[in-house]
Amino acid sequence: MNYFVSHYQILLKALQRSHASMVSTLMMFLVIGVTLILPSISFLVVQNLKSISQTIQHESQITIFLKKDISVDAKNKIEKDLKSRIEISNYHYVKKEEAWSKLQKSMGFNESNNGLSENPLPDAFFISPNIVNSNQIEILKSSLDRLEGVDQVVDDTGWVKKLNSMLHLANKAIFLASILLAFMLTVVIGNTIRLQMTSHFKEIELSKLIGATNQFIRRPFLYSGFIYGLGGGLTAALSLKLIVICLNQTVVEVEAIYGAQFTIVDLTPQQYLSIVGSSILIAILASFISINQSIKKL
Amino acid sequence: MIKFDQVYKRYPGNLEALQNITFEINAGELIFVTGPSGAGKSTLLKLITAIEPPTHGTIIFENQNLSQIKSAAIPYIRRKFGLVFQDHKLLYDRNCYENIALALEINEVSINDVRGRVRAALDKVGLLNREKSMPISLSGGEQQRLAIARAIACRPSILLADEPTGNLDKKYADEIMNLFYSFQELGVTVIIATHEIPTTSKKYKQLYLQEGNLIKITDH
Repeated sequence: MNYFVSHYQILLKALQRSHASMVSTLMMFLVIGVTLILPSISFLVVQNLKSISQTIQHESQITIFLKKDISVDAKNKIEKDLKSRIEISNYHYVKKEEAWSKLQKSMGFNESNNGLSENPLPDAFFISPNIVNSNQIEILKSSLDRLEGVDQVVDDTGWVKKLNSMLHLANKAIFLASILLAFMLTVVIGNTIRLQMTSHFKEIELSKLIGATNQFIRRPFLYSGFIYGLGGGLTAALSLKLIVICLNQTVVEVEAIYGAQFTIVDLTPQQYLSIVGSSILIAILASFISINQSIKKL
Repeated sequence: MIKFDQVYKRYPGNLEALQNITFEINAGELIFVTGPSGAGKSTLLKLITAIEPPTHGTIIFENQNLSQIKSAAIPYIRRKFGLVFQDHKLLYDRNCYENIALALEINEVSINDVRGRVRAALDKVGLLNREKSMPISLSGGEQQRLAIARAIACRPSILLADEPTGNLDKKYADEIMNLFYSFQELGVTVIIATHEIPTTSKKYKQLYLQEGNLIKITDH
């Protein structure tokens, strides 16, 4: 009981100390908060782009261009095959004449001014797969490509793949930037704690002389670190929440203008907690390193 | 209780602070460590309290060899001593009560007992009415009494004082010395490092140091 009361009293003292130097404490919260917001926002952006790319991938199409001289039998065989595959949700067949007419219409050409002696387009099947995984799509593509009468199989997810690889790279970059920022935070917090210890040098020196253990000396400064971490983490989490709310309000306006449906995907409560948690962890670690170095010098 | 056996202390730069020191202190004794400035009096006290390790030799305190003690055990050794310094080492941003309470907190005294022990210590040195005063508002003698109250609040078995009356005039110095004598009468071992031994009718042992050597040990 005495142990917990003692911890509670030291926490109170650390709070009083932080309250006594309110401006510098708030500045510290701000420094930690802003430093943590930077990778968090980048993470949020990447998460949103990822979810968009997944939606696009889900809506992707595979086109099977048939050979020009394909027989009706072969075409029917392909159609039967498509019908039997569970990985295909639906398909439709477009005859080359229909496609040619649509193309001419959209380009503003007619038979007399298109400059072509014959229809260059082949017959084609347009397929909507019900699979998202790019490997499975590749397997489906190569299996369709082997069918008799198929000239070429094309999928329209190439740019999504590029975007995904970019996002993968961005994720790695965010991770590395986070490590650098965490290191920077460790230095900043550690230095602040070191300065605090310098200003309490007489008390520490006396305490050691009359029998204080290193743990006893460390404790109030660790609590100071904890307060910085908690304050900074909450600043980051609350600011991020506000940013998401503000962006979503702007998105509503965009939706109204363009008629598109889009919402910024917010972080999960666990992710918000992990921001606060990592902030506390970094602050305590920084304090611990700094305190130990200072104690060694005593 | 405390035994020095051929103890040497050399500081960096080959400065020999103590050489071949051998003596024994028994529980309840009054000891004066005397000698001119630079004789090694303060170094001797630092060795007894494990503030400094010896360069060579053995220091035994309550059957523990301080020369080989692990650093993690040192704080627990120091808690057995009540230390009084010439410059008091009071915390001037805390009041008298808080100065003493810190020592009790370090000694892991139960929170329920702190108040009573602080008041008892202040009462002992005649400062009970200055409980809430800041040390800066106290006279030199009162500040030293407060430092003694802090030292005795933890009920140490040994009271060590390094030039406790060095900065005080004779009237205050006598008051302080009488306080030490009163604790010795209660069975506390009192070790005082001083330039001059004050006039006293008390029985005491004198360790006379000169240039780091223990010149003589005399009983009075």
